[in-house]
Amino acid sequence: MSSSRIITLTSSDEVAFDVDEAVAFESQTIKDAFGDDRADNGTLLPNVTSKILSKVIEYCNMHVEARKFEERSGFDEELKAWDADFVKVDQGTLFGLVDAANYLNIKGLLDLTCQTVAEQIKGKTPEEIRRTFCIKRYFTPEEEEEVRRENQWAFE
Amino acid sequence: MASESNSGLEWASLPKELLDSILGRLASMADCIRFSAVCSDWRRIAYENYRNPPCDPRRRHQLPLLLVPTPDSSTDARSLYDVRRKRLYDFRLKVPYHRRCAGSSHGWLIFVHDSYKVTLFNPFSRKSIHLPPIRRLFFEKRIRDEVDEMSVLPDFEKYQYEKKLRDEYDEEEREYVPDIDEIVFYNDSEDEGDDLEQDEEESKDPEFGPERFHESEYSVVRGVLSTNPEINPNGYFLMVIYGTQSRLAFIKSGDEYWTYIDQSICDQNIRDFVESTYQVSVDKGLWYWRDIVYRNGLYYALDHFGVLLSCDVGTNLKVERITELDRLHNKWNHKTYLVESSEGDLLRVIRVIEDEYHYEMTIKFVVYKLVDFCGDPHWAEVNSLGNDALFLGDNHSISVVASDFVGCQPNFIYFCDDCDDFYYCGGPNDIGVFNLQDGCVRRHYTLAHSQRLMPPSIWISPTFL
Repeated sequence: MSSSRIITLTSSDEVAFDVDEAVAFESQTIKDAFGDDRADNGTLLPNVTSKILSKVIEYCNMHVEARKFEERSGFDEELKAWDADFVKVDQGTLFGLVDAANYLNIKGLLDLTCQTVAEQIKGKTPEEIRRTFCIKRYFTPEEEEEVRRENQWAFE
Repeated sequence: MASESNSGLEWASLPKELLDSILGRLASMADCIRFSAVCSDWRRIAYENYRNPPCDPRRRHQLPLLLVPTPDSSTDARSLYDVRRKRLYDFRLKVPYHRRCAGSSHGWLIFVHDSYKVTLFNPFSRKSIHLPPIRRLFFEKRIRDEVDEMSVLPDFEKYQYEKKLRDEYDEEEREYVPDIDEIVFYNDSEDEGDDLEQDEEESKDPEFGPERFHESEYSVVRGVLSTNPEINPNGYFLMVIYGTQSRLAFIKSGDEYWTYIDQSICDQNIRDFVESTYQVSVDKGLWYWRDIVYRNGLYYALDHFGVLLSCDVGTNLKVERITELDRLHNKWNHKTYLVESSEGDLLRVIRVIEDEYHYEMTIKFVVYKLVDFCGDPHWAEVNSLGNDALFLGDNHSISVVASDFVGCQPNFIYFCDDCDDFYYCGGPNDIGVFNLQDGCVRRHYTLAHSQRLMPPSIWISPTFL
């Protein structure tokens, strides 16, 4: 049995993180890039800051560890609770996580963060949604009028 | 792009696949609409998604709103009532037809005119689709009008007035077994009869004033679309339960004629007489279909006695019987619904109605699930709907996952009027909600007594433009 190697991930602000191959391969992007090529031992991620990358690695670590305890009863709830706490972050960090999960193609993290964003949208008016996500108005006055008119009942 | 600042630009221009994923997690149509109103980029994604909806079966049905008369009894508009927040919207929907909806499916209302032409109308997009007339209804009416004068065929008369006389029948003695092997599909185009009198205008019956009734309003009791015609304009089907004997007919988008599902068993004497006199084929078979469901490419129909039929309306017309007749519920005024649960099970729901204060009111529901589909399919009672909430009435019976919609209660049945009887008097007003857990009916919205002759309420699933 070959020992699993260590892969070095370097963030955009040049902080290096050493992670187990198994943890790094939670990212399909990294897995595809490294594959069987054992010569390479690290990569630069120009799109991910150290703050976000450390969170991402934390997530991947947890979920790789978690697989060892899959059989234990009640474990599912514990993991869900951990996930729920994990995404209790400020909007900027949440954005970074969504972005990174997409770029690195980490399915579980992508599901988790997209679901979190969806929960933040549910039940809010468009104005409230814009405030939550700091989106500036991009409609022309005509477009705005058209939007309101078309689906009036949803805006009451 | 790695900045942590909340300039706002970033959320607005997330990559398409992320916005798709986020939008896909918003089950409520209202949330999707508000999503589309946030900014141009999100709006574009929302519209693209509407055209190509995700395949998640749980997104099949939207939480319906209740379409009710406006407080000022308008004849060309209706109001919407939200059962979750228990309030009437100020906003009104323009609905140009002042008559009962024969059905409500995928956001489209089904209207049957005096000419028996059928119109699909979407009050949200204000689009109409005009379908050919159900000619069989025209002949039924003519026969009814003429038999009044003729009274030569006691047997035949019995069939036509069965519904009116049903309370006098002893149901236990009725022998009734639809024979699957005898099913035929009959198409209007094969009719040799003379042209229908085309009634372009809605007749205004002076006796009842502008309020109602037109007998044609009750000629179709319910209709179910296979899919939303907006999304699939050339590939949808509409199946209806029509006529005094509650039989089945369907039409495909673009067809010129309706196709009827008949039974060929027929007493030869009666058939000969009627066919030669009225040039119409007679189906002696007794059918009492109550509800329809479209599921996985097939239509399923459930009758009053628990018989479940599957119908393939595609290129190979075919029906198969799934369950045998049972006598679980015999009373004629109890209503039967067929619904697909969010898990994909077929449910048979009985609405138990009793006479209270001279009105027929719902007192409870009993739910059965189709079990042992591959072995011995039959209906087994269930005590809970799990996470589902059902919406029943004149509409296409649907189930939703309650947790997808804030304020919707799981294990509840939301019901409104289900009027299939032209002779109903006293005005429909049987609207409420049934809690399966405590077995209680609660009322929420009630029509004013002055509005009892307005078109009955119906559930409608809002659609996105």
